[in-house]
Amino acid sequence: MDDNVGAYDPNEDNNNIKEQERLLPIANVGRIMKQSLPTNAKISKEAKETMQECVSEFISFVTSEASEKCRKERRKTVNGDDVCWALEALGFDDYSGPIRRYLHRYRELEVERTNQDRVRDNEREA
Amino acid sequence: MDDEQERLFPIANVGRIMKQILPPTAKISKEAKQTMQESATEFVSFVTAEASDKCHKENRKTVNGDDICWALSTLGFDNYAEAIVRYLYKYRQAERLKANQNKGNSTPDNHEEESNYRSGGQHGRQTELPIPLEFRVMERGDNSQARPS
Repeated sequence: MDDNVGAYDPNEDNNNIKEQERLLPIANVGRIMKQSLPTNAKISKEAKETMQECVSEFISFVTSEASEKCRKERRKTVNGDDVCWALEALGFDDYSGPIRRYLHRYRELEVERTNQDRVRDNEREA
Repeated sequence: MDDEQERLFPIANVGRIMKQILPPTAKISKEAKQTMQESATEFVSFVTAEASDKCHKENRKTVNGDDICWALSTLGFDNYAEAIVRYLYKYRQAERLKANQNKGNSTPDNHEEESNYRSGGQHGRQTELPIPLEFRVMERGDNSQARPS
């Protein structure tokens, strides 16, 4: 990751649009962090911003690897399998298992939804 | 759907960050965005849970940046932790500078406090800024302790 997509630049504070494009919303970061904490626990602003930086870089890091795979295979579209492969390639082996299961479940639901739409269309035509 | 919005990062933002990395001609499937959305959410939960555990053991109620760095390191994301420590140091410098400017004092404090993660809470001076956030490719199995649910 030579391009330092996630580099923190204090001078960039003036440019909120750039910052919003580069990072995930801090409210969402805080909300997701809160779900992992006991009800009486608190999260400092610094912790939220550190995690915000970290998760944005995580996405960039994994996407970069998936993109490289697509480039080598002369494909233009990054798909779910590429993301899973990238997680494995970067050492997130234990992540790729649950994520592959998620992907499998997602695809099953998509097929189900398509079938339901088809049935609905047929009923409408009848 | 509301539950899902609570639990996951907005897919538009995830897609935007992914797009910045890809060549201009490349495309991202909806399933790739959703896979990444799920993965990023799991990553945050996973690291936070570890940081929370540390705070609980130390009878502290507030999770701070150092706890996040410690959690990353403990979970095997050593390269992440190093980069985030540098980020945290720079973040604190910027915050201090902002506070000084608000006070009407534009000269920053030279006695910067380094991240507890790295220095054990001791004060130290650092003349040059730490290099910006940069992750290196990890060897397979570097984060072998990582066990997402």
